[in-house]
Amino acid sequence: MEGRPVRLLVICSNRENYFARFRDRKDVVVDQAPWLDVAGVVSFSDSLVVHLGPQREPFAGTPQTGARSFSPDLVLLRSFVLGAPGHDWRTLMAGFFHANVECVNSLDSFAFSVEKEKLWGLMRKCRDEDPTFPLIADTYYSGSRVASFVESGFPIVVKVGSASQGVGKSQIKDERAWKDTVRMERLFCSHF
Amino acid sequence: MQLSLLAMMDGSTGFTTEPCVNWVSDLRLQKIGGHYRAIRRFKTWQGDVSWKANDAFGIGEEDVPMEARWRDWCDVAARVLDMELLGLDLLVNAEGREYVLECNSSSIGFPERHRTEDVGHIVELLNGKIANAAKRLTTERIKRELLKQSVSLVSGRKTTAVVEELRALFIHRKQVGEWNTKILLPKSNLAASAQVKSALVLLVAQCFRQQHAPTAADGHMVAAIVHAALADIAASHSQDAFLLENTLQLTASELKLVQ
Repeated sequence: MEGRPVRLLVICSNRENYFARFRDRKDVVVDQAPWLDVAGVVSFSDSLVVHLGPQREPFAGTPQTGARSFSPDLVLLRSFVLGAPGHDWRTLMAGFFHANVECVNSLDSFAFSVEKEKLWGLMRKCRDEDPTFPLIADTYYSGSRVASFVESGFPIVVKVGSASQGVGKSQIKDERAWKDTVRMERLFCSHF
Repeated sequence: MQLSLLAMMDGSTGFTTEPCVNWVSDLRLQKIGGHYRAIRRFKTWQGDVSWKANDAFGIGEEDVPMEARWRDWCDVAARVLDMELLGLDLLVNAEGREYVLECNSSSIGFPERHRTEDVGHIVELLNGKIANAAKRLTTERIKRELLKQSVSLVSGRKTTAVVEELRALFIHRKQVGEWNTKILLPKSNLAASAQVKSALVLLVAQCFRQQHAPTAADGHMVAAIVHAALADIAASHSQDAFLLENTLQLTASELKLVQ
């Protein structure tokens, strides 16, 4: 009994070509698109449909030339789910979670990759399991109101944003610059 | 600095601080399945601007041999973070002290010179996943087919009547091995008879689900069918027989019939 081929969806820009890699394979059907070309994701009770728009500069002879729908059995994620402002694909990713489709890396790893602090918690776990794991001494502040005490000596680096592609980091050389930074943050953060 | 701070306008997240490492090496340790790679970035001039290791200016890059401890750190991160493909970022200061800054997921970029080879490693990793997915698809398809067969066996009949008939049949014959091909299946082909038996197990299972919790006698009866079917399947060596066995084991364990 011959089954249908496995459908592999690769979320990736066209700097890598997965169509070419699987061209001669009868057991795999590939589609590839960057997040930007993913028009939407629908996860039904027993199937997942990903709607893809045409690529601006498509690989010739591939489905990328037109709009299409794809129902993947396996997804490779080669692009950030959450990066710099404007690069937030969490609502699309949510469809993959809903469908529990097999992903590389795992769905679980992406669940905490979009939340830097959760990722950090697991990095601590790495250090707990392997005491030689040289994790840097990182401090988390929920906001500027609690940012009075600095754990290590200056200079320090302040980081804002997601786990991948942070939106900003600054080097703070002394106490005075630290206070300035914290005030600046208070100024701009509407909910404080 | 102020430009970076503007990014804090959003205000929906907190922020983190870490000691500023006066680095001499910025390491990217990369793991793709079973393949490891270490890339070192270094300052090509000692200007004040290059405190950020990921700045494009004044930074050189080279491949370095993977140290055993680096490989261990990649492995522990891969396991704890559930990532088969990852990039660990480390800074190393002048005294040789190493600091892990972050762990990047499968979206890590590759240097142009390694891209073709590294995408090849990803494809290798995917091949294992594809084989598993193919196996899963086949099992699901066989399950669906068996279910369809079961449905066709009961269609137009009261399920209670079918169960009663089966029960009478088994109790009457005592020997479970006989009922299959002679009564319910015209062909005596081994794999086909195994399929019908599987279908019957599913059918009985369905009836039980619809009706009542199976009694001990019901349990013994179905267990006997399962064992007989498994024995037949064990005698056949086809891949389908193997998958059927999986299906049967699943059904049986769901009904807690096979200890």
